[in-house]
Amino acid sequence: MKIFHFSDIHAGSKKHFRQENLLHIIDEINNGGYDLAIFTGDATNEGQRDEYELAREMLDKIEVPLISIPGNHDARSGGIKLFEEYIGPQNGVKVFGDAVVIYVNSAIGDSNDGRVGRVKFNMLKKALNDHSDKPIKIVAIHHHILPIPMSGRERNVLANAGDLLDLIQRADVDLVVSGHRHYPNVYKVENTVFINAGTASSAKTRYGDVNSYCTIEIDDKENKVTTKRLNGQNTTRNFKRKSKRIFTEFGDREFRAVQLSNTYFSESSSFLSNHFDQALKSLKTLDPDLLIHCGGIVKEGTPRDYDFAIKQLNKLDLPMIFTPAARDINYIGYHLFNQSFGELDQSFKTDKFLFQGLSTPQYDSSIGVVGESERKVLLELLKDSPQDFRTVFLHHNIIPIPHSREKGLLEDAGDLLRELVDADINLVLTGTSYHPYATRVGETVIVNVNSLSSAYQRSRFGNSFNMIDIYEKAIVVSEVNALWGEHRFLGIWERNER
Amino acid sequence: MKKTPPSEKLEIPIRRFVTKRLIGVNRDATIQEAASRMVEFKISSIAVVDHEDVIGIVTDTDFKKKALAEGRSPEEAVHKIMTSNPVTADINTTVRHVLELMYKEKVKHILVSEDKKITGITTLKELEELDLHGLETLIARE
Repeated sequence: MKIFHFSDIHAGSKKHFRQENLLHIIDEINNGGYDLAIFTGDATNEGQRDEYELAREMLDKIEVPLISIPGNHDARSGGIKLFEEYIGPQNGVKVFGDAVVIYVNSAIGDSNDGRVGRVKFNMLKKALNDHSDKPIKIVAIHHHILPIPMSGRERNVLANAGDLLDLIQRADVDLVVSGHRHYPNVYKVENTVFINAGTASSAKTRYGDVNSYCTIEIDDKENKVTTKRLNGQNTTRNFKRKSKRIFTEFGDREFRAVQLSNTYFSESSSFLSNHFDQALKSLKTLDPDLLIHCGGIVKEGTPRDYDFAIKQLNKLDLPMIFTPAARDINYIGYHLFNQSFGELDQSFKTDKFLFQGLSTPQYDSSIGVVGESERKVLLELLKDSPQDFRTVFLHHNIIPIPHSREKGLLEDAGDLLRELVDADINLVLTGTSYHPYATRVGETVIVNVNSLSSAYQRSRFGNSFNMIDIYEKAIVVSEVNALWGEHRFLGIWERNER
Repeated sequence: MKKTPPSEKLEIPIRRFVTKRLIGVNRDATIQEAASRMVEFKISSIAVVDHEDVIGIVTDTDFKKKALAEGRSPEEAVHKIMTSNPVTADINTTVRHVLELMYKEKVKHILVSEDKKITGITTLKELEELDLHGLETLIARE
């Protein structure tokens, strides 16, 4: 099956709309032998009638089956009504032979943000249930679910991106096609390929880039995804459709790390002392090589909470490294963290393993950010490290987490995620949003940990920590319930799958 | 607010609730090696694999009934105590069908196949937790 994916045409004034580029792209669609074209939104620039008329005129030239969804620009000035009049339904399900395409409007009127509300989320879920047996499942949505690089400090993923990501993974969706940020990008997350096509014909490109689109060829074994820029620069990647499912060879266990966060040490009722004491017992039995605290050590950065934290942590006789959350460095915590635990960016090294901390909170702010200069320093450090297995740990999320909203996501998550995945970093550990999650983006396993002993957590499995066992041939991540010590797998991945 | 009746939940394909990772041992591994692997990963069943194909399953009960009670040596091959042709369900079948299979076949573990190849496992315990997934749906709403 051959699919043509384009996005963000922004039909409108000559200043913003490069009509000649769109006509060139339409020529490609009509002459490339495609089975299907998917347009992922922003047909217009301001949702105006004359813009819709122009968009309709353009899209009418396409001679292959076309699916179109609205974007945030189409919902400006009440334009969503005109979308239905000129372009078609906002949401729907269409079957093309072996493939099902489920398309969902994620735009909010007069806002750049996106969400998939209750009715549409359930529609998506039902469609994925109804078409569970379709060999090719495609979801089309304007707003990107994963953060996009080269987007500056505007994350702008969907409000409930984590829930969507979880649903998409569970339902084994093959392709997710999106637009919104005018920068082309492709990720493979487990067996799902997430594609952002960039903008087909808007003059507003990012970082001096040109207009772009994407082609996808799907067969039984592979997805071949090509990003095509109008300057002739093409990038093709082949993705295996099914990763390894049955694990019989593990080799020796080389390292056991325990990841924890949000211990919330304080004498208040939000610190669950029973959970912490029970977890200590499990930790002693598991005998890890290293404990990694991903922030939220104390409830507040006060001397009283730090004194209490040190008393509690002294019960543990295990090597431990820390990265702070905003609450750890707030108030006088900025000094206390240093005094009690050491550097902001801590690391642990052996011949084979590197665990590198990356401090992301800002003083007196809930927004996490690394910044371009610090990312450069980190990448240089990682590039020069001789270790075969490299881990980066930080407090804020770099992918959306189920049951959470955008606030836990690092402000420059789009850039950092791209850079870590491109550098083939083996493991990224994060510790906010109070919900466990683990997945693999490219070759990089990304693991978020729930709160260990804070009353604020969001998982029905309860407060927990993660155990990360690194074998010669596999990485095994389990969640361990703080109170009862019960284990459940968050994932198993082959090492060096490529 | 309208609640999804329990009967409707039963009509959902099991795909969304299957553990799509399976820990296995090769058919010629010893009974002891299989038991050690189950202890290491804290799992109650393990797949027996021959050239990447699952040919059987061994559960905690099999160690009790077929290894210890029958006085087998821990050095014997694990395939001797496995259940061959284990109960299997296609990934697109409904939760109701899988629960019926468990009841009829008197098993708590069911291997899950896709395109006739085993790709995962589901257990009675996981299906019992479906109500929890129901709650996740609610939270996923805005």
